[in-house]
Amino acid sequence: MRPYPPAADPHEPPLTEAEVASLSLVDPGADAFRAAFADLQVDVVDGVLDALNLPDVGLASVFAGLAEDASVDLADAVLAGLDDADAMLLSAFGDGELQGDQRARLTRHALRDRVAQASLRETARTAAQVREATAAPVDLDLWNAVAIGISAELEPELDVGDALRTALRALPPVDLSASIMAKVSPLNRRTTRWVSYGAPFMALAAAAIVLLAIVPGLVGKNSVLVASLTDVAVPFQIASVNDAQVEDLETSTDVTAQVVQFEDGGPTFILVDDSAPSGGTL
Amino acid sequence: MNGRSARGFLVSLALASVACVAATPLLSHPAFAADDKVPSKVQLTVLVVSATDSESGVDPRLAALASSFRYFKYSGYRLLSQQASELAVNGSGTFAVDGGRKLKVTLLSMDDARAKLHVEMSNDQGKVLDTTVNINRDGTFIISGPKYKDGILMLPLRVSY
Repeated sequence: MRPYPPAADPHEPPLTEAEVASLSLVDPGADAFRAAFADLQVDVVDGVLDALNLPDVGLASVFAGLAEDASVDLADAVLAGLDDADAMLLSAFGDGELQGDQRARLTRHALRDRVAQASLRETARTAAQVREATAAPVDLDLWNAVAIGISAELEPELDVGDALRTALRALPPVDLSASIMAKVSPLNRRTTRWVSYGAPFMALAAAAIVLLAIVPGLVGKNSVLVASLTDVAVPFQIASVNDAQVEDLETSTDVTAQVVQFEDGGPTFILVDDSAPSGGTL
Repeated sequence: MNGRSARGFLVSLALASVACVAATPLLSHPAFAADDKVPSKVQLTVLVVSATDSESGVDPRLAALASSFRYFKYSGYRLLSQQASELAVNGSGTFAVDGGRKLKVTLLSMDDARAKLHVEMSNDQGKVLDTTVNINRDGTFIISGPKYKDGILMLPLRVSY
């Protein structure tokens, strides 16, 4: 087992910017991995990944389980698809262990090791592709796939994609990747071993980035995907019969009101028009 | 009283006794008044919904109301808040409504089938709506129309017990 990263040579000259740039190292957002939240429950849809045409290496085993269970701890699911080596690498990266001196030593090592270089460049390319894919406007098919996956109860004639997009915009921003990092055991830098960036790691890291990017504000602390939020304890229900009788009704002088029931059994509406310049009150 | 009459009387008395015993658990339920079969409190839920053209689609949390929204011209319906209050008869609850408004709801009366509510909506200048609504148990009515940003507010009120 090789020590990771290789021990620094105090006599070795510092890396130049050109050397670092030559590796095309892209940090897929180390800061994003540090935000922490717990008890993530997420319903993830394969259609999201299919629509983004991501590499599926290593994903099948992770998301097969998610497709069957509407409430899954995403962090655990992702880690289930990682072997120990990738988990340690992911943790090292997310914990900032690849920054500063550590990062410099890794970079220096990569400059000497062609296999490592290739792996790092592949990671960079994947990250760039993910960013490009998620930066582009998301088409309706993608949103429909997600909506279907979460089994949102919507009228058939409603625009499912727009409904979901509206709901997602209402959610506060959240770092999904932190949940994954919170599940990985902290590493001791002295015992971490260097392993190549493998395809499974790249795919799963990309998946985490994608989920973070396409569902900003997907979840907050102790919240679930889209269909319910932390501030809504019980879903609002409508009874089959809604028989309201308005016994009396008064409005201010600049307000008009009208009582309407659009359909049998449906809720009665008290339509209030206060568009006139304000000034009157009851 | 002859034999048949006596037997009938005793049977009636026995049935009445059984009925009283059977009703005891129901009457002692916390939700029921000690000396009345009618529930004594309602759960009032108030939603504040923004109807707007600057967004599109129906907030999934408003799925139950989606069919009612179809009669309005707006393209987007978003849930701004959901508030709930337990009201006893003659009790009131005040709910914050976006746009500097308040909604005060008083439970006037209730029986096992219907509840009567007094609803007042006010803005920063005073009361603008005053109405009394008699609604079936678990029914919903909606106050709709107060101006909000580029659209209007819709306030579904559900009375459940």
